[in-house]
Amino acid sequence: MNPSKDLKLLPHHFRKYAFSLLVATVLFSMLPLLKLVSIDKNIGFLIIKSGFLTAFLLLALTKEKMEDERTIRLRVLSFSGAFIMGVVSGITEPLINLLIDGSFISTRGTMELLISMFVFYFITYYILKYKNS
Amino acid sequence: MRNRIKIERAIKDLTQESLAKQVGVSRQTINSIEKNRYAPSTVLALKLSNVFEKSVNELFELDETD
Repeated sequence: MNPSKDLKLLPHHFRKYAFSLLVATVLFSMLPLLKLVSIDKNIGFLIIKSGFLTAFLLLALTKEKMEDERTIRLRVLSFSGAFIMGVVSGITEPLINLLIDGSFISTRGTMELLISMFVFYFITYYILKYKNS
Repeated sequence: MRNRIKIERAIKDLTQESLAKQVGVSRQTINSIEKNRYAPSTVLALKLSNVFEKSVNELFELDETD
């Protein structure tokens, strides 16, 4: 029984593809600013958000150079932390909007919520990884 | 949980890196175990006991907080 083999993750070289996609998404997001191309604003945002989400998902599912039981434990801790953060922010956001704007609605969409959960996951994972090493 | 990994490693004159290679984990994992920040799985504890030719009970022991 090897815990690092129980969790099926992508090989380490997928990290390169994830970073390439991240860079491509950032460059794409700059195109309208440079007035090189005109895209419908909504479609542009959708492409950018999809690009970030795909890159983050690839990064989150890619093995470390040395993946072992400790990194898997840190992944599980960070994933559960990100999930709890997502649920808590989903519940509290309309309440905060009610206090600030007076409207009991959530202004953040699903994609934004997922991106913020990924950001939380990466921050937690790298803090735990370097704090405990 | 307390452990004697650092002491046994010094007796065997092993670096964290070489011990990590022998048991198939990262150097950071060995470091975390030595500092009692991470409790290894049974599999890893048995691998460490094989390297040091000591029983798991000789390498690891429970402390008051466990």
